[in-house]
Amino acid sequence: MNRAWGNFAQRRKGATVSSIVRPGLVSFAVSLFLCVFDAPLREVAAQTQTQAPPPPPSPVVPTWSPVELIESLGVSHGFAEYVVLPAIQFAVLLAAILTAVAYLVYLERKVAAFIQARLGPMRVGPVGLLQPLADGLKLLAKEDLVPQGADRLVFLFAPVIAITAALGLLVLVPFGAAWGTVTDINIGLLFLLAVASVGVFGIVLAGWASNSKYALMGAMRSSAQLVSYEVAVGMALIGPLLFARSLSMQEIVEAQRFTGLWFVVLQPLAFAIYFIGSLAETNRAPFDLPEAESELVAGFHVEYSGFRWAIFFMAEYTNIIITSAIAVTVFLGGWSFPGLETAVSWIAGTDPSTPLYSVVFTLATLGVFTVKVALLIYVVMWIRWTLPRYRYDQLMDLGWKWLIPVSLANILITALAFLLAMRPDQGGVFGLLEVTKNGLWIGWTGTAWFIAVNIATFTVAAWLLKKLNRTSWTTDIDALRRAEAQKRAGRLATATERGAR
Amino acid sequence: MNPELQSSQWYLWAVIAFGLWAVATGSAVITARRPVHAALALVSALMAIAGIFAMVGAEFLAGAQVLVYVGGVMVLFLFVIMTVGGGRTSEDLEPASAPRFAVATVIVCVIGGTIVLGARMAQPAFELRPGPKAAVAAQGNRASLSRNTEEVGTDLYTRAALPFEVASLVLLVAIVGAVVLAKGRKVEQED
Repeated sequence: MNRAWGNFAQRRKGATVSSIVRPGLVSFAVSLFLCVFDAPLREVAAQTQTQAPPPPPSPVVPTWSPVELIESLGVSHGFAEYVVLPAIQFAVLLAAILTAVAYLVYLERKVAAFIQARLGPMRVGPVGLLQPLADGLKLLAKEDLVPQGADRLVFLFAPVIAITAALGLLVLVPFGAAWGTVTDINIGLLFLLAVASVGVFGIVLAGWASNSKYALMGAMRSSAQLVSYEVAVGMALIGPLLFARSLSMQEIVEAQRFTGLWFVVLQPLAFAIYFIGSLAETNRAPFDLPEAESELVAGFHVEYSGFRWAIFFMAEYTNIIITSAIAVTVFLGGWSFPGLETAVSWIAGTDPSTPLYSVVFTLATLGVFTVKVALLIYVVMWIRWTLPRYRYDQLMDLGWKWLIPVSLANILITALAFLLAMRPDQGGVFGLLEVTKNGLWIGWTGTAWFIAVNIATFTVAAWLLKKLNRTSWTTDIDALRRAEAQKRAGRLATATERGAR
Repeated sequence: MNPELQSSQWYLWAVIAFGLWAVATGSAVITARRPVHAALALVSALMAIAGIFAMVGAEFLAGAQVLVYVGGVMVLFLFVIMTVGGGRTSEDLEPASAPRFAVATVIVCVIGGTIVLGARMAQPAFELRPGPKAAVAAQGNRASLSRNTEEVGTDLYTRAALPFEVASLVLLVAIVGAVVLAKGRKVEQED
């Protein structure tokens, strides 16, 4: 241990110019190599390259929409398409999501109970199924307290920000094909990330306005954590975006459907980073420091009571649904599933323009999406009740020293691999994939190439980071304490020496 | 897009509404008695500007504005205000009066108007672009959405490559400087 700390100190003193210049020199050498050997590499590739088979046709999409049904009731087309249908969609969505949120709380208690060999809520209704209703009524009947010395306006407004940011995102989540989704905009994913980041204000302001130490501590931890992990999460999503070539949520799903591959296959590393980061973003264990019960009582919402308190929980569970939905959309194929079209054609025939086909197809895709999201949320709950909480410095280490560098390396190497895999006449080398108007065509060789690149990236990055982070990556508390004591002793010795002189 | 909605020019009215919102919250930034309230008003003003971006067909810029300024910079602002406890010091100050707010609004309008007028004279071609194609209900049709992000990306790596690289260099220097400042102080304390 002594030796390790010595090395660390030495390295830190010497780590000024060379540690910045050396990577720069290496990357310069690599780019020089690529420039010089570009032409020969291309020649080799041109000789070995075989003609890529023609890409498959674009997948079917139902063309009928309920707008026609609304129009037949005597409503003008524009009003039906832009006002009536979205209003119906959003009302249904809101009802479904708020019910789902209430039952997620129930599910969380059940999962926790089963993991701890208990039964969980059993008294209200059969198997406790009416428990969310009872909880909601209880919270509505409770007094809405505002603590003394609180900033009243901000205190009352904070939960509103939290829930608005969470529920407003729902319009962009692609729950299903065609009219299964409320809307689809060209900056969909960026908008989701942007508005999700506004949700932090709810937490920060709640903590500050409460005029309470615990709440403020929770809010400060939370804002630091969210700002840190936002970077890793955002950069992890760029990897799959290179394959989707669009920020629109529907187009990301369509791209995976066209390619015939879920992007988790091409980008397992990015998926892992996104998943870990999203746990931290939603303040879930093992990253639940902002509301660590044993340290902060309850964190930023200590002073809240009644329904305002419940609103924070609704926002939190809605955010879990949304982060899981983003993961499903970007990495797990969204509403698409292999063989879905065939299954639909058994019931509704093969003509995509009929209303029956449209209804069956959309409902099927809604079902697929819901099941995928539900499974992912179950994993999130499973993790919460299995892993212990991280310490604050471990949390920051994990975010800044591991996830962010790996996600950066992932972007760089994936982009390079993508470039190498393109056809020579399009500026690439190997010709393993085809960029078409409807999306990417990647054969099994292309898939194997990207998986190999991902494994290589992970191995090299993990090895390199383990070297770089060798002093911070120890969970051995005793060793850390001993090292800390040694450091203190050393400092004391130098101080005494100075004093003696 | 639906002709009924297109002909109503609601984009223009939305831009004006967002502009008024930005001016009002901008005045609130400089009249608010508490730092946290000022920061909140600034958040609101930045959102209004993002709305203007979205309405004139710069959707990517709108998203980036919210993500970077609202979600990143302003959270750090609030973090700093909370850390130095600035929110609790102005308890005894009298609340912002209506005349003060009016004066602030006039000042903001004059400054904003000057900037807009200057930009207008400097760039004769400056005018509202026709509204973006409204988000078409998801049809799975890849051609139905505007390719705004792609255009920004292409511009960044071709026409605007030099300013982009210079800006990134400046930011890199700032990051390294921040690390050096933070780390240097820590090392001094340890010795």
